[in-house]
Amino acid sequence: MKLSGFPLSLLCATLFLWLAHAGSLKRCQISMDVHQIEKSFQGIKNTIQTKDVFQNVTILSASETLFNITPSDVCCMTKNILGFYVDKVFRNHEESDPRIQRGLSTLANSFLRIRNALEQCKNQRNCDCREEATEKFQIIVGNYEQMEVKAAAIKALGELDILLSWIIRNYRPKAATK
Amino acid sequence: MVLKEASANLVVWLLCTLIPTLFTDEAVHLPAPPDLSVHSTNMKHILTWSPVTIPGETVNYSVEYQGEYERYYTSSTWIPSSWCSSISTPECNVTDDITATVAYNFRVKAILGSQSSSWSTLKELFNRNSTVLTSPRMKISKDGYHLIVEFEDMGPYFEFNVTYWKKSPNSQKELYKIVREGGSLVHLETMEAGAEYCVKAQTIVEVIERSSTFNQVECIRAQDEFPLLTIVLVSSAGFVLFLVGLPLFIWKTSQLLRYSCCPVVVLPDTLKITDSPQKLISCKKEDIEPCDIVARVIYPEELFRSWIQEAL
Repeated sequence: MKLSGFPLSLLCATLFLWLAHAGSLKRCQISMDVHQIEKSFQGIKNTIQTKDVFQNVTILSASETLFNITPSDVCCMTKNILGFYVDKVFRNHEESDPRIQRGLSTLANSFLRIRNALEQCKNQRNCDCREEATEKFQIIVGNYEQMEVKAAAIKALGELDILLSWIIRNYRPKAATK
Repeated sequence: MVLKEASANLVVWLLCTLIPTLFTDEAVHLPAPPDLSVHSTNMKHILTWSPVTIPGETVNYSVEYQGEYERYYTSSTWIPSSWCSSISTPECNVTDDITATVAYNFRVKAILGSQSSSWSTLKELFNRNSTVLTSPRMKISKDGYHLIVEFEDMGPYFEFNVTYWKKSPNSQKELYKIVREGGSLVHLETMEAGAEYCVKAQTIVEVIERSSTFNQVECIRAQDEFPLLTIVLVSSAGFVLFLVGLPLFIWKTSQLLRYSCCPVVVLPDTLKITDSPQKLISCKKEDIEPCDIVARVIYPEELFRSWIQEAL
């Protein structure tokens, strides 16, 4: 009788693992105002990037962090980077020009919305961070903290074009091909 | 002691309330604009408030906004509205300010010369996902057998979910198509001759994950393969042609028959003699050139005439 219980529990375990694996292939579906995000960034891009005087330094280090990422790490990475921008980057930049303020406000509020949506994503397991993803994110944080705060914020804002095109490619592939 | 303190406090209080009034030019109290609210339809957001009226003066207003980010992450920064930093009407189109699907707050103050009122804010925060979505205005038409649909241009946030089917007594299979933008003609289906097709649509606004209700169903019938009117016209024309053509045909056929069995020989004009036969050739003796013998055809009546003349 004990032996007949064992295959059943083995079957259940296999089924559970298979479901978990299948679940991880699904990505959180989030609505994203690509039109507004791109329009806002294009409006402030030149002004922000002109203020960035450190040409040979990168914060995002995209080739190390974003471009070699596995699909299952995309959600975690997106959530972390957007949270980083909302918590640190936008706050560390002071802006007096109302036109730039509006553009940055759109981006900050949009990032906040996407980050919250990813956190509330039903299949929470899909957005857990594996070690590799966490390490890559720490590269970005490390690069940021090595620079002086204001200069780091300007550089991180200037590199938003790289981040935005990566996010759009992952979450709105149709929009990326337009 | 206590009395002295109390009187000192009273004096200070009086000074504090009276001194500011000494520095103001006008003794006009400018109230903050009341009843701020946002009305939103189809992703167009209008902020309105009750006007501040000062007799004989034009009051201006200034509008500022903040999103969720500014409220929680920047100790309440306010951003000047895109279009309403100094306006004279008590309303402001804030569509270009509300650029993310988060809760926004607005504040408005009245301005009169150098004087400003205090700020009024919204009673309830506004999120654009509460916009009222109306069913779309749709125009269906046919171009030959092509079923065409057109929607008004509602801006970049709107897509149209179209459902259409061919009316048939047995079963109606519904087909779907997403039209990505309004303002242009879109081909839905190539219709079968004589069949009736029906169409309905709703708007979809992806950024707020909502859609409108469906509009009224509109139906259109494809043209028949051989329309009755065309048949009647063609057959009438054919009959008229027949009536005109038949006598012509008969006449032509009779001519043909006449020529083939009993042809009439007609002498061509070049061989006809118009003068009297005697004068045709004048052969005088004085002429050196002798005359050749000429064979001449004489008509029977000419022959008779010449006999008569000879006889006379």
